[in-house]
Amino acid sequence: MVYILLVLLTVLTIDIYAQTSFTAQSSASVTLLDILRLVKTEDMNFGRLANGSVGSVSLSTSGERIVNGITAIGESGWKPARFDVSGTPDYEYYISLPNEITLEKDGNQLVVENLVAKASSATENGLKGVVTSNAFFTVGGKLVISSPNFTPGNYHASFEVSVGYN
Amino acid sequence: MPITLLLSIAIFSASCVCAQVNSTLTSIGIDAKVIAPITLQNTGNTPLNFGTVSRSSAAGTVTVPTSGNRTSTGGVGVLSSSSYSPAPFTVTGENSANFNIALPINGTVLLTRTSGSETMPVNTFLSSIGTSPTLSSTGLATFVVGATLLIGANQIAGDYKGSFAVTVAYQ
Repeated sequence: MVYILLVLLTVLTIDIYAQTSFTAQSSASVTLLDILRLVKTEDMNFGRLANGSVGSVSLSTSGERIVNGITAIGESGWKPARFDVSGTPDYEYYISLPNEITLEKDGNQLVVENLVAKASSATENGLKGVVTSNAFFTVGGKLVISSPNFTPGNYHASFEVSVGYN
Repeated sequence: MPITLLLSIAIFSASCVCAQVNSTLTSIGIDAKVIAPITLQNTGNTPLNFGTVSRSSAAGTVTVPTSGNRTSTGGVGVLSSSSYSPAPFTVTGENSANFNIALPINGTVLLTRTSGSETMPVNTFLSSIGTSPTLSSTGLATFVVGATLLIGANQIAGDYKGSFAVTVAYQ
C-alpha cells in the first residue's frame, strides 16, 4: 500500500474589523460684528482769545472752557469735538487720539496738547466706550499760548481720531 | 479584528481513488488577535471657535491655527478680548496602530447666520498631527483641528454656526 503523505499547512489570516473607521462631528462658530463707524459731528473750537499774554485755554469733554493766564473773549462758541460711533451694540470700543495737534496760520503755530476723550457711556474721561444706539464721544484738549505776541487770526488744523473694537 | 487561523492538516491517503482512505486530522490551531475598534470623539464637544471678529468694508479671513494665535487678513479684525479655540479630538484604538485622518475639503463646510440664511465658508482644515499619525503604545491619540473662515465684504453681522465631520480610519 502506498501512502501519500499530504501535509497541508494553511495559514489563514483574516482581518475582521468591527470598526475600521469612525466619524465625529464638531460644531464651528463665529460672532461677526457690525462695521464700527465713526462720524465727526462737531469740530473742536476754542473760541476767541486776545493776545498779549501767555497761558492756556482748556476745553473739557463736557464743554467747559477754562482759561489760564490769557484773556478769553465771548461767552460762548467754544466746543469740544464730538464723534458719533455706531456698530454692534454692547461691545466695547477704544479711542485713539493724537498726542498733540498743531494749529497754523500763515506759518505761525499754536499747539493743542493733553487731548482727552469721554464716551457717552462713560462717567469720566478715558479712551474706552461702549456701543449703544446713540453712542458718541467728545474730545477736549489744552491750547497753549507760549508767546504774548502770537499773530492774530484764525488758526486751523485737522486731526485724526480712530476707534476699534476692544 | 484580524483572526489568524493556523490550520495544519495532514492527510494520509491511498494511492488510488479506490483504495481505502485513511485520513487523519492532526491539528487545527486557531490564533485569534483582537484589534480594538477605532473611535473618535470631539473632546468635550468643544467647537472650532473663531471667536468674535469685526470687519471693515473689505473682505478678509480669520484663521484659528492648530497652535498659536488667531490671525486675520484683509478687512477683518479680531477682538483680542474674545476667546477662540481649535476643535479638539480624541482617538482610541489599537496600540501603536497607524491611522488616517480625513478632514473636510474646501467648499463643503459653511457657517450659517443663526437668525438668517447668510453663509460663510470654512476652508483649509488642518490637523495638529497631520493626516497619517500613529496611535500611542496605549492606543490613544489626541489632536486639534483648525481652519480658515472666509468673510465677505458685505457679510451681515451676527452669530454664525455650522458643523463639520472628521473621520479616522485604520490604514
